[in-house]
Amino acid sequence: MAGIKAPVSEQFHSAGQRREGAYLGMWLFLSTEFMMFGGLLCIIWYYRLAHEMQVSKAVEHLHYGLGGFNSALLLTSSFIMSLAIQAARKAKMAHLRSLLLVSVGLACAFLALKGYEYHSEYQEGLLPVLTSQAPLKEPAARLFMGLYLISTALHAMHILVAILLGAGIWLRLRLGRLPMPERLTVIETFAFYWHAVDVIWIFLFPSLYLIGRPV
Amino acid sequence: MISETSHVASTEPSYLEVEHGLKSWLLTTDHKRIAILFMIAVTFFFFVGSLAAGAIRIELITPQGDFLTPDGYNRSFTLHGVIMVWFFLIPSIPSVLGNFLIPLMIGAKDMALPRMNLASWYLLAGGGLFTMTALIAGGVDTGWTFYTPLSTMFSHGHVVAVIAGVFITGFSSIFTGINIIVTVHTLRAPGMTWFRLPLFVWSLYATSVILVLATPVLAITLLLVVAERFFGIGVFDPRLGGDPLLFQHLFWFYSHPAVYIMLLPGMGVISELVTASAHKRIFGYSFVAFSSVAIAILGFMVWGHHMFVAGQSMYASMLFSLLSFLIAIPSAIKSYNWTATYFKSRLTINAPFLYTLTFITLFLLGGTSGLFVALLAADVHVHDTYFVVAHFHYIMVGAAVSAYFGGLHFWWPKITGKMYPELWGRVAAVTMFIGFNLTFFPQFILGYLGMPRRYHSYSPEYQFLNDVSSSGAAVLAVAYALPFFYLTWSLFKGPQAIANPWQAAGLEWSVPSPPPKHNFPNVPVVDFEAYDYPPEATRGRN
Amino acid sequence: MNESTFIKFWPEQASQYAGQVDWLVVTFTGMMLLFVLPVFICLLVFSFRYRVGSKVPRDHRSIGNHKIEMTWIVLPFLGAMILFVLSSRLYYISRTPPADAMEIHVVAKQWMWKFQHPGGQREINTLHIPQGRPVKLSMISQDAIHSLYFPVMRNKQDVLPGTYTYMWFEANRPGSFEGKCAEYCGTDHSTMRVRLIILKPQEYEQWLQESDTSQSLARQGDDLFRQFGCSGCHAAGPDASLVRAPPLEGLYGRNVALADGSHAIADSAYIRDSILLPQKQITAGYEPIMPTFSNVLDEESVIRLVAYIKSLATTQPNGETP
Repeated sequence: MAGIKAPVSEQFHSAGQRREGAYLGMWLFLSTEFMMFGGLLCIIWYYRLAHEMQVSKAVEHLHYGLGGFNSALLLTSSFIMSLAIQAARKAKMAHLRSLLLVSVGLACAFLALKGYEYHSEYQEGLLPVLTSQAPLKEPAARLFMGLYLISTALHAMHILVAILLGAGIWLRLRLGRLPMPERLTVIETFAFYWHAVDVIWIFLFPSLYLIGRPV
Repeated sequence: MISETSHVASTEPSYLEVEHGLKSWLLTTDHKRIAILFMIAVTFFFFVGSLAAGAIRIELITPQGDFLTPDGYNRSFTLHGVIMVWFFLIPSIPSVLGNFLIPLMIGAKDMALPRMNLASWYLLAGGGLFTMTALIAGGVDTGWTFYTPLSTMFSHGHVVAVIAGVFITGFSSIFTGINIIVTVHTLRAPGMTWFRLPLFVWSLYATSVILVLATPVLAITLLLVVAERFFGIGVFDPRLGGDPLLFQHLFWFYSHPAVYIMLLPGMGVISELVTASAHKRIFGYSFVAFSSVAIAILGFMVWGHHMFVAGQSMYASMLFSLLSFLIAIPSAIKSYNWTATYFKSRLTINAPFLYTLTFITLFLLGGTSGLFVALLAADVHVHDTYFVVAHFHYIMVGAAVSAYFGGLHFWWPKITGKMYPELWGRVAAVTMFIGFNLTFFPQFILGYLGMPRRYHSYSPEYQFLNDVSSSGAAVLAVAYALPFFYLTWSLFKGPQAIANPWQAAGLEWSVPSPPPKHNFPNVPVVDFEAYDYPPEATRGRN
Repeated sequence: MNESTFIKFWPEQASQYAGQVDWLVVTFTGMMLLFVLPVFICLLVFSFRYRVGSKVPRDHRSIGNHKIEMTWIVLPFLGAMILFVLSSRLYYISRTPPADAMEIHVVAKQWMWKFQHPGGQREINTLHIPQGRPVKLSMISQDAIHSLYFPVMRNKQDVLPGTYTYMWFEANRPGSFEGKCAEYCGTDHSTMRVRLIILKPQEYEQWLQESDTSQSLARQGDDLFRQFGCSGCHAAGPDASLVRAPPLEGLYGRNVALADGSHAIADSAYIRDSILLPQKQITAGYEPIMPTFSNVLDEESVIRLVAYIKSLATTQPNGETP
């Protein structure tokens, strides 16, 4: 995201062209994220279908309540982010900054809860690598826990990146380096990323926590 | 519109002269300088990969494994595959020729995302050096395909390091792909509609779609191999509930489209070279344009043809075989259309033309051998033999590398402002054709005879053909070394090039050689079709 | 090899199927030449005829012609489709062993091939088979993925860890040929070869008798069954222990009801998994208490046990596949 007078913008003739380029570029980048997590989801679903019973045993041990609450946090933070965009469009700088902060804060809460969740799973001996996974006997159940760990950790890393980017943008807003609505593209493309990370979670959560859970 | 300018009229300094010093190169955002940075990087990696190829061919002169240890040989072919695929073939045409030419061809002043362009180069150079170090110091012996459970459980080598390097470099591919798509969508000059675009742009656009959609699947596959190797999460280990075949599906889901990443840009170059050498509009523009798109789409549907004997279902194999036949159609269309373009043309027999001939002939042989391996019953016999090695080298080297060299020669005057020595260019092209066929044609026979690939030692009855192949490799080495020397020579001693030395159509020929930093003084307005050669070529025009 | 040759251009055939593959390949090559040679000829002719300076008519230059395009799309495609069908048919045959095929068990490990005949004969890196009888190889790997390839049969099949894969052929001439590992498997992949010895039927019978073995596969499996205490839980009758385990008589080939409500056929893979990964499929009505034997039994031992359990389903004492 260049500054106002950045020489790199010479290839664009108008701000509209530049905005179009930024949007398209961000959407293309997000498509790579969807392909990567999509591949992971395919793997999760393949093992679910191949070893239904055993995977159920693993799903039983996952904390769907925590996960559900975390999902609510993330959805709320996405909602707040769209409010932030509205504020940015109307150049309501103070609103924008606080909404951004709240959104980033909710994501931090997500990460904190995720850490707590991993800690409980560690204590229950469920996590691969760190524990013996003794509560789970079947190899496919243990593998599913491994996939749960990989998927949620990868997702959490993306949340972390989003938090850092969000904090960076908040700082630049605070320092007055991003006037609105001239630099709206920065907020909007960032929000695309934020929402995409949320959408990925919307697919991960049922695939890992909910489906196959004994009622 | 063929530029009539016959001398460099611009008062603006060229992009090469406008700034000096290391910083002006390492921190540049000019797509032309970045293209040169990529050229240096891929040339270096090509050289390293070739050394490994040399080691392999030397070893295979004799049936016994007497030049390298078994592990040394296995590391050599792994290094060769990893470096050539990810650090030479995939970036070569898109990041060198694509970066340089796309803005010029569409009438833009730069790529849409110049800093992402530079980042892409750093990722390639850095990732490449890191990977190469891991491959050389200690080495990896899994083959570039990293099949599990060999790579996850039985390989003693820097598997994780090499995978990390490839993973990082994947971002280089993705960034280039994103940049090309955004550029073509947003920066076309007024009047440059999609169907007025040079076919090179169509090919690179299709390639970029594959780059963006396929590379992430490799990313997750590699991550899971690391998870299994480092953390014991047995995604691909049957004893831990996993499935080794799943790796193959995931790997080839990326790697088959990847081969089209390596081929489509070459086809784009050839479309340009054919029209320029023929001085004629291409035959069937829209068919060729849509063929690029069709190859990109169908390329995602055929990955299972690498797994006919892997243990997948018989019926899945039949489906993949059928789809593989379908994907031959757009490739055939292009080959026939290029040939038809030469009908009633006005042909200049120069080095780019010779590389074009090489491409078309070797691509047809490679492509039909591809159909051979798409034939189920035939593939059962030749899978994992030298037949397959010959097939993909005909396409990757015979076709794609010829296209890269042909494009390099064709656009050399535009990129550097110098003409290369024409005689040496032709000598190199012919030597390449001879050396290539000597090296790889015997391998078709060796494969059908039953010589498996990745074999350090072999049965004595295969020796004669292996020796023919190894001698061909020596000739090929000369053919590749020659341009390195005379192209470098031309930088210092070559004659100055005019703006349009080939009298070719295309916006890139309307700017001086080499172009100024921002390409066009004013945004061109396009009111002519692609390959706007006159219907009747006038007499006296060379 | 039979004879030492300076140079060969075509591999030998040792089965009728191999001959059919060769015919398919030759036909295919011929058809491809038909589609490709005209291009080479045109390129040569055009390069000469239309070079700059030549005075030949160049008017009425076409920039496209839908009819021509469709012709050179449709015709080669139809030709290729005919060959696709023929090839799929051959592939189907190569992957469908006849019901009366003689089964030989193969275990691949880095870097050797081990064969077990139904009569218990064992071979390493050599395989004796009779001429004129279909032979089905039932294969599994101890470690990485390997691939057993017999060029003279024009057949190969990847050998996987954890799953049985199959390959069959019927030799139609005697001789000694080479088989190879065709899936890169590490350091000594190149030396992982098999000497395939095809014997006339009487010679094969003779070889079977002369081979160093005292017991059939099933009998060897019986010994293992006792040695590792399987009979402790699985034996029926007065020797039955207090632990309730599914009975194995008549199990092989039966449809088994599993604890999760699904069903499975008790084939070799099912029995192998039950021994090595007992938690994978629990029989309905039983507790999941069978211990795993994956750390004490290798694939060859599993093959013998499977042969023994198969024999409990038939009346033939030597455990041959019915």
